[in-house]
Amino acid sequence: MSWAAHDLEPYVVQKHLGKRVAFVPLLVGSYAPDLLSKWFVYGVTLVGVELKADVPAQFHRGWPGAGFTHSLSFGVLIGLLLYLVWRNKVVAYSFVIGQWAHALTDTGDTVGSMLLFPFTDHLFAFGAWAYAGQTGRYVDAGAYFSGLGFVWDGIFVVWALLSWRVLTRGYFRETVAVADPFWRWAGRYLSETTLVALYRASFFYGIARWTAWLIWAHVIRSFTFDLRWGGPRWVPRVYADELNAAPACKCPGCCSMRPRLGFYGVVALCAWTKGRCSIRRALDEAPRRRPGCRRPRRLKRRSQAERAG
Amino acid sequence: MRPDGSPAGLREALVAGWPELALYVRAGVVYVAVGVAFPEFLFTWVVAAGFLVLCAVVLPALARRLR
Repeated sequence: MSWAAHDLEPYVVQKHLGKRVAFVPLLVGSYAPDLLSKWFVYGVTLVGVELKADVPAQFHRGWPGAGFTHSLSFGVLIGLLLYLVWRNKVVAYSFVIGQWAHALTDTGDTVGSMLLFPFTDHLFAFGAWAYAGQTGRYVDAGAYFSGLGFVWDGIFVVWALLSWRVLTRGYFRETVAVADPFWRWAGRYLSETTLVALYRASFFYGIARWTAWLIWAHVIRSFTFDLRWGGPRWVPRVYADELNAAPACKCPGCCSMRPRLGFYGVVALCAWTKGRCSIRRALDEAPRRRPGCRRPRRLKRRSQAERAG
Repeated sequence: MRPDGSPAGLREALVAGWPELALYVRAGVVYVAVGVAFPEFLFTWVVAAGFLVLCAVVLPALARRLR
C-alpha cells in the first residue's frame, strides 16, 4: 500500500492531461480501492463492537475478500456505471485513470494487487516494501516510512511539487473548473477561495502527512530505517504467495518473473520511452541541412593523400 | 500567463501568490506539528481538508472582518 502517493497521483495526472481529465472523479478513483476496504483492515469500533478482518491482507487484496477493488476491471466497471448515470465520458475515464493508478501503485509492496481479476486471482507484486497492514495502523505506518515505501512516496512528493502549476488559482479557473462539472455545481454554494482550498486539499494532505509520518516514525518513535528490497525486515510481512491460490499457481509471473528484475525492467522501459521522446524532439528541432548543401569529405581526401604518399 | 491559466514562471507565481502561499505553509506546519503529537489526526482526509479550509479560508476571513 502507499500512503501519500494516492493523494498526489491525481495532481501529476492533471498536469499531463489538463482539460482532458476531470479532477474530482480522478481523485475519487485514486482513493476508491482503499475507501472500500481499508477501514476493515485496521478495524473500527462501532457501539463497543470491534469490526476487523480475521486475515487483513486477504481481505484487503485477496479473493475471497475485497481485493477485487484493486483490479483494473473494477475501475472499468465503476467507470461504466458513472457513464450510465452522468453520460459524461470525461468523468467516467477520469475515475478509471485514478483507480488504475492506485491499483498499479499497490503492486509495489510484498502482497501486490489482483490486477487481472476476475480472469485470474493472481497477485502481481514487485515486493519492494513490506505489506504490514495486519500489524495495525501505527506499526504499519512505522514500517512503511522505514522502507522503500517512503522513497516511493517521496518520488511522488517531488513529482507533485514539480507540477506546481496545477495548484495556481488561474489554472484552477481556466482548466480544472472548466473540465469538471463538480466545481461548477459547488461554485453555486461556495466561494472560489473555498473551492481552490478544497481542490488543493489532497496535495496538502499528501505532502503534510508524508512529512509528519517521517518525523513521527524516526524522531518521536525509533523505527529503524531498512531500505533493502522488501524491507523493513523487522516487521512481520505478508507475501503474495501466502494468499489466494498462489502456491499452486503455474502462471509465468509466479514461475519465472523475478519481481526486482521486473521492477528494474519497468523503470528502464520508462526511462527509454522518455529518452526516446526527448531525442526525437531534439532531432525534430535541430536545424536541417539544405538539400543542395553537402559536407566536405575531409576524411576521404586525407585517406587518398595517405595512399598517394 | 499561459493558455491553461497558470503563470508563465515560478517567479511570477510566487510574486503574485506569496500571501496565499504563506497561509498554506503556515497551515502545513501546524498540521504537521499536531499530527506528530497526535498521529490519529493524520489518518483522515476529511480532517485535513477541514483543517485547511479553516486555516486558509475561514480564519483569514474572520481576521479581515474583525479589523
